[in-house]
Amino acid sequence: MVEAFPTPADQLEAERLLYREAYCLDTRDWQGWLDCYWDDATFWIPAWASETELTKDPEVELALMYMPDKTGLDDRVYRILSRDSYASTPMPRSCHVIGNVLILDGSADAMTVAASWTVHLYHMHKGGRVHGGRYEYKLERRAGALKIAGKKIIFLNDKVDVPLDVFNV
Amino acid sequence: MLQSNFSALIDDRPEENLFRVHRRIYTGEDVFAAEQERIFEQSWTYVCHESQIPNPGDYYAARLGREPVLINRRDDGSVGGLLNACAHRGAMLNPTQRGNARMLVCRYHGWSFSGNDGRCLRIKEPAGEDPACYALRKVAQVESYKGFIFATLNPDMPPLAEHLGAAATIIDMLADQSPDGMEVLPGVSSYIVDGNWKLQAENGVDAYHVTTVHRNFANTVKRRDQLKGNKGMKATDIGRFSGELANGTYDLGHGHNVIWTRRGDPSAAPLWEGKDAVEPLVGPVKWDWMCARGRNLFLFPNLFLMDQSSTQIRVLIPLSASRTEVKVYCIARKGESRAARTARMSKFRDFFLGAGLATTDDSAALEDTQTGAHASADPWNTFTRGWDTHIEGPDEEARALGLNPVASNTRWDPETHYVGQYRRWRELMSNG
Repeated sequence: MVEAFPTPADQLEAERLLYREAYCLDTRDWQGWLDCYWDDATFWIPAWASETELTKDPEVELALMYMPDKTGLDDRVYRILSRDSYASTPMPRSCHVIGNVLILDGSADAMTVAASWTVHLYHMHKGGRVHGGRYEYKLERRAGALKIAGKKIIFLNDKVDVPLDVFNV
Repeated sequence: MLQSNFSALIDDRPEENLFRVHRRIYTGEDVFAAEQERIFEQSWTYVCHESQIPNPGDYYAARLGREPVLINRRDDGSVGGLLNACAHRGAMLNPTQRGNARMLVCRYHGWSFSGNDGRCLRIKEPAGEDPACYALRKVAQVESYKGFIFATLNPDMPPLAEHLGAAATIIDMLADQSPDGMEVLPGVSSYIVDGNWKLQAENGVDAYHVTTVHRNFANTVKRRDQLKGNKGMKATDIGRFSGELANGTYDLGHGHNVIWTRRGDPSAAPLWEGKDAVEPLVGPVKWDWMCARGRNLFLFPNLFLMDQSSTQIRVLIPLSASRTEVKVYCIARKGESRAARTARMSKFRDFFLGAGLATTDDSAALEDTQTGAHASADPWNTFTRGWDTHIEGPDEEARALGLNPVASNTRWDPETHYVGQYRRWRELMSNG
């Protein structure tokens, strides 16, 4: 008898990938972080269009971040590693906590996964902040490996008083 | 220091080419309170764009200084403004940023007002009160210049056209980019900087910092454009950042100013696609300014219109002496192609947001400047750069354009244009 999707093994595999990405970000293992993504992966933080609605089309409406492929993530790593970004030097500290990992749809090879997140961050001049929201992931298996094909970050805030970057959302 | 003596915070000695600003203007809460009264609750300030309130009944919430207002589209198609506070006990009437309301109903005691003209329509369970005796107070003056709406609480402020003066010519360069008009795109980004609003006002027309603070941005996008082979509309045209292309600065009067630089590649400009439609309407000189040059325009006291790699409306909202909210919107040509809009939006995200590759670095620099402003043993910030290339009145470029600025500079990275900004500040602050 074949177990119905998602199986406990699917759940475990999805959770492990999400946790690994967060661990890489918090430990500044940038190559490890990039390795979590397929080259054509999208990365999107929509802006709020109103009190209750997010923008829907990242190409022609405002998004806080939108990378149509992985080179946009590579830009961020390049910028951080250059040690030449005023806002990223010294680097704020961050700690992700991910929960409510819920496989919504798909198959063992292409699944949609939702999760809740908080990031505790510490900015040298401003002190501690907490960011939070939801993730919506597209995970895909290619040549045996499960990686991120798309990540949408729902960020609760309208306003922020620290620079937003890939490591604090 | 006495309240009446804020002008002593500006050390203005033109005969010596000396201009200094006392750092207390960035840190003093008494200065901030006086600015709210004398500048933001008196002067014309930008509130929103007409495309954000297209239909009768549409409103957009804003603040004039500390006062909450609703800017509305009236039944006759004109724009107006109402104080966003109930005429009864003062509760803010409408809590949302924007919407459509033919009637405004107070959520506290249920009084109803016309969303068109503020008349009181109904009083819940009246006990002798007469609706005819109550109304939402109108904002004294609300005017649109080519879609950009400004308002003032002061009925005696001279008309908007007088306030804008020579700056209108520079606004036209953005407003006239499409025969169909311009529109603000969905979504707003807001970030808070721990720095005085005047540091923001300086920074947006400060080209001098570009080769230090944005060196990292230039390197990042140059590398990406090379890796991806980006050309034309997709390329970021980072040549503007080097300062090696022709550039300049104008003091436009009333505290307004603009810095400009030629683009290395006009086909990378957000307007390029409109060449055939717009160039014949505006003529070659204005077209050259519109498309082949990048411009940062500051309209005192709270608005930047930026036309660089992308096009931006940036609004400054002072929260305290040391804290400022900045709201950014992307403004675009109505009816442009999806490819052009995608490129415009992509470059907007790169630079202009609190999650971008450049604005974040500006904010960090301004926060350090705010911290440093408390260094009172050495209390003067000097604006000394560029007097050797300073020209009173128009330079040749301005004459060819028909622009009549207070002063010109043939470089884009001087500090001479801040003189006009702070003289306007001093003038308004003296009206206590």
